[in-house]
Amino acid sequence: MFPVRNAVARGVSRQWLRPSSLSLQHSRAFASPASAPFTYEVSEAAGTKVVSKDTGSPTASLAVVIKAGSRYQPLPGLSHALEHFAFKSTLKRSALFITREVELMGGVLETSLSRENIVYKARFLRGDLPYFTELLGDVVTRTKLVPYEYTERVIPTMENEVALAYSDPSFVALEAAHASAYHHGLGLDKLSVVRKNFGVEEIGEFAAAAFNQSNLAVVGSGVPHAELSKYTTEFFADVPAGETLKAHAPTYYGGESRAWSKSGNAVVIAFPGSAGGPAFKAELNILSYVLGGQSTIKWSPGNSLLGKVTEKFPGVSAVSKNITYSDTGLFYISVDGPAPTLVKALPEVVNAIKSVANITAEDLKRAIQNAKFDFYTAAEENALSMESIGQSIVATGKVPQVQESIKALESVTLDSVKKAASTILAGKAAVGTVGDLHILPYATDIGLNV
Amino acid sequence: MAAVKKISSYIIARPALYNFIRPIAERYCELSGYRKVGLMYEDLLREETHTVQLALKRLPPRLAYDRAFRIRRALQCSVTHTLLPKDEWIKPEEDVPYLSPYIEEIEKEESERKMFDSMTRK
Repeated sequence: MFPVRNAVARGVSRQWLRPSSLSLQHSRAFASPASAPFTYEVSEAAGTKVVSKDTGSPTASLAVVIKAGSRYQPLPGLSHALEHFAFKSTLKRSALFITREVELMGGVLETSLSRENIVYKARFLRGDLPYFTELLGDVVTRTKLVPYEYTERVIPTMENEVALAYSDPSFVALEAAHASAYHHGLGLDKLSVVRKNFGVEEIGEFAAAAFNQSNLAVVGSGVPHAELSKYTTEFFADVPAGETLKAHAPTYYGGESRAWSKSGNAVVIAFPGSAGGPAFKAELNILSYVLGGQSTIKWSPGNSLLGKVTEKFPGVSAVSKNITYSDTGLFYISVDGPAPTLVKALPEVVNAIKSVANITAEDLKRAIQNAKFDFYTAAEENALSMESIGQSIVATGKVPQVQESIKALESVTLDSVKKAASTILAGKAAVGTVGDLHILPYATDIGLNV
Repeated sequence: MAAVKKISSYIIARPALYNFIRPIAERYCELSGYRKVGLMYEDLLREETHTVQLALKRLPPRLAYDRAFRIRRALQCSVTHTLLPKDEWIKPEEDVPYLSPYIEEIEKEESERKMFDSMTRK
């Protein structure tokens, strides 16, 4: 019945790489790997949006992406609490039951929280799709939200996560940059730092408002689409139709916020970036690869613009990224290291952005190749990029196919990258500085407009 | 707790038996006198066990407060060798099982855990 699992049981022996060992319906995906390695299929199963791709791999992933991240929460910390209530007792089974049963099946359960989404994710062996669809449907529609689970299990883990995240200066600096960039909505803390008076009633009300057909999407990877929609129709039938959650409009302000920290030093320099989904601006993504910072080669600082800067300052690392939200995005460079060195490195980091004006066609080529590699990696890993796909589906009902996105990356020109860099530098930056404030410079000191 | 539950549901399921036992039970409760010092039956459950301690922790704040109040009031009655004025006695309809749902929940969790701990995969 499940030929893929049998192949694994016989000792992998690369059986599953050969199309012949897979059931026929998947072999299509292997027939023309060069033209379309993965195609996302989109459909609606009894009103719930379902998107999936099938690569025929022996493991599969399933995620429910719910547009209920911190920018939509009515009280600070509510999204974080709701995320931590995942896989707690439901009307059908207890939390212990879920844990033990999933362990027996060799599955992995994960959740994640971003400013945009709460994601409930399961990874499992391909044949177990019906069970995990049922489980996720159960968790979304029938979690009991028991008061004592909140005090005994949810609050301690939440506090743990907050303590862990806030001991990382880069995280705090990114939060600070968000606050200066957007003030409200996206600017508010992602995690439950301030947990204002709310209990399970408020969490339940928020869940009732969030968990409906216009706010969530079921994203599958490595699963046959027909089967996934069949099971979604069956197990997500109780998800009600409803209104989409409204968030504060993301106005970009820019500015600077500084916080003292004993645990290290980090500075995040942020600019308006590119939104995700169909409105994605590829040149900003390529710009983040031109600036780079994170070396792809071991023992080498890399040849990107930021890589060349950090090479001169031992202990300093700088990474540039573009975070995409449904209607906006944040392009940022995160720099951390010892404070005295950081003071010298920061002006050079800003100069690196300016020096994008002088990049050559080879630099651009390299950035595009890196971007393509990362994009394909994210697309072919079952568990990666599910959130962005779900986010795009919930926001627009569409998902950009991998080939389209790759084409968009390839068609970025030298001029558009240079123009993107000069535009963001001319505008206002949003800077978050965390660490030894006695030493760390202000944004104007390192040549930024705020 | 589970055993008590079993016996009571056995009796309730048989109307003849239920009608026979019920007046005796009511008389027994009245004679045992705990309601006259303002206690509810479930205030008397032995609380020196892990299960009941956890159940007490899980009580909503209002119920926990009321329980502490009743116990203190009863203690005062005991010390002064008095009963409460008759209008403050706990009425039979007020004597509800407020703690046992939590105890049953915990017992269920524990039996589930035991079941999983001792199971083997075939």
